[in-house]
Amino acid sequence: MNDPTWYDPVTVLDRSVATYSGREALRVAGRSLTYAELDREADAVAQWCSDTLPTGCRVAVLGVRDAISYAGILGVLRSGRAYVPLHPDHPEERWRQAMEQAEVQGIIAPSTEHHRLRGHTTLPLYVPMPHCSRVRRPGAEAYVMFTSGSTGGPKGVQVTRANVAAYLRHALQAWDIRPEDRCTQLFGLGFDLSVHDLFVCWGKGACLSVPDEGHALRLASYLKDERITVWFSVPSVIGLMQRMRALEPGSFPLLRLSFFCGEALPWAYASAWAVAAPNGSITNLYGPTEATIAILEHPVRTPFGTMGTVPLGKPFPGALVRVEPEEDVRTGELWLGGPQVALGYVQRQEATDAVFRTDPRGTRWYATGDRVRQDDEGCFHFLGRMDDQVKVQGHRVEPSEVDRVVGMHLGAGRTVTVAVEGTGGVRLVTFIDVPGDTVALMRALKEQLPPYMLPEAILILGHFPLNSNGKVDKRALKELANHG
Amino acid sequence: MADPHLRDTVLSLIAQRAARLGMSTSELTDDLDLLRSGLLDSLGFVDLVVDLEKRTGKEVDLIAAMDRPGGTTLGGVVELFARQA
Repeated sequence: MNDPTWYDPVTVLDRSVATYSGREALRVAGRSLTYAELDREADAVAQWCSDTLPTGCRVAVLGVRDAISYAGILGVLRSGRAYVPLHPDHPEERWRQAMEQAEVQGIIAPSTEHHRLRGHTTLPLYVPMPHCSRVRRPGAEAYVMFTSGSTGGPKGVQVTRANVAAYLRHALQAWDIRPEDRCTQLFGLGFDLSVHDLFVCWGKGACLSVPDEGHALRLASYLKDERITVWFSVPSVIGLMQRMRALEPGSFPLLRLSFFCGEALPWAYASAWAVAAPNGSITNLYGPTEATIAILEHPVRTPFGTMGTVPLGKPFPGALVRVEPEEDVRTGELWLGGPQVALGYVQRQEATDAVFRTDPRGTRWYATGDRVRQDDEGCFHFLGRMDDQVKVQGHRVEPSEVDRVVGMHLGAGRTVTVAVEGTGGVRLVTFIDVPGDTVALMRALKEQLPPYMLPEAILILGHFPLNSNGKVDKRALKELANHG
Repeated sequence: MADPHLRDTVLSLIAQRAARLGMSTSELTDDLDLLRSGLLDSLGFVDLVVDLEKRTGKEVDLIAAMDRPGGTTLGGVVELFARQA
């Protein structure tokens, strides 16, 4: 187990295929695949990559809810290449940017989606190979995942297979997932928490259950119908289910383990979940994409807090953590180091250098931009962001990225997007100081930004309020957004 | 045809958002899916139903409603409250 390749994602799956070949591995879109069947479909993809694409290139995978997406990710990795997920709900312009920046050489998508892609690309599209052999090629990079960037648009985080192996080393050792478990797959494949979904489940020989499209409001039924025992989602899902009155006492007796990540977990949500799933444990996870999936964990135990949010927790073994101190040594920006720290942002050296730093001893660190406080027990607590970044249903959003796109369409004037906290979540409101057709602008934004980055409203102001430093007063704008 | 009075209430609740997205009232038909059209997100949809519950004094079974096909369409929402006579 000290062999560094033992927890490599490809090796992890190979071991499970050998041990659990006849067990159910994946339930998606009305299909059920055993480990042996998933293995064969992944091999077909690996063969196509080997026969068709340059060695070591990147391959886009359209993240639709179809077996091909899952076999696609596995096949790309087996062929020694890295995958770049494309979110099916994101505008095609966003896909094009990602594929261009990551220099993608081929695309895996179900044949039903090929017509949609052909209009945008001349890259080869996956077709199943009639004959395939067992392809395993060494590869360094696992995936490139895009996240919102304050300047210059989305940034593609380059994550290696060694990074993922470091995550899996802890996840597969520490968490008690068993072959008879049914695990959720709620995170979009373009979100790195989906890497946990796939490999933590498959690493233990369990079954991954993918809900049908549009299931966000049907999660309670999905949980019951699919007999889910292991749950992983963003905390805001609890708020949604609570408002639907889906969290009655004992609603989900089969749930054994629940994990939450992607945004702060309010104690009130944790309590509501514990009431609905009385036989299970809750673990709060924290980690940015740049430090591979999650890197701090907090087992939620009684007594539950009544106010505020659950702590971020303590680092995984092997992870390096430090606080860049502000007023006292225990409060400041959280820096992460160790084997989970990613390579950087693809083709964005300046952005990489701004947050990935090497100290005099040669240790690489990622400066998270998250303000934290470490308590006497070594547990970290989230205090807020150093910058304007917000989370919308777990997705990182830089409001200035919205401003950049609005600015491109307006060509004049200023744009300021603010995030306001409403019932149940964060929403964005964009202010502009020039007259314009806000409906046309909204349509244009829809073609360039993912749904969670679209402002709820675009409002025109004659003049922006200024603060005493002569800068745009964002606090005043938030007030306006809340009441205007 | 769904209850016209209830339908008007639903329309009034989504009108502002629809206008901001540039949707005309003629596009707001019974088979318009409020989620898939981008008019509301999941939370917005639940808020709409909770708002309608307050206005009508009726309580609906949202979980069961979501399992029915067309549950998230404009007509589906009106139907949901009509059932709960």
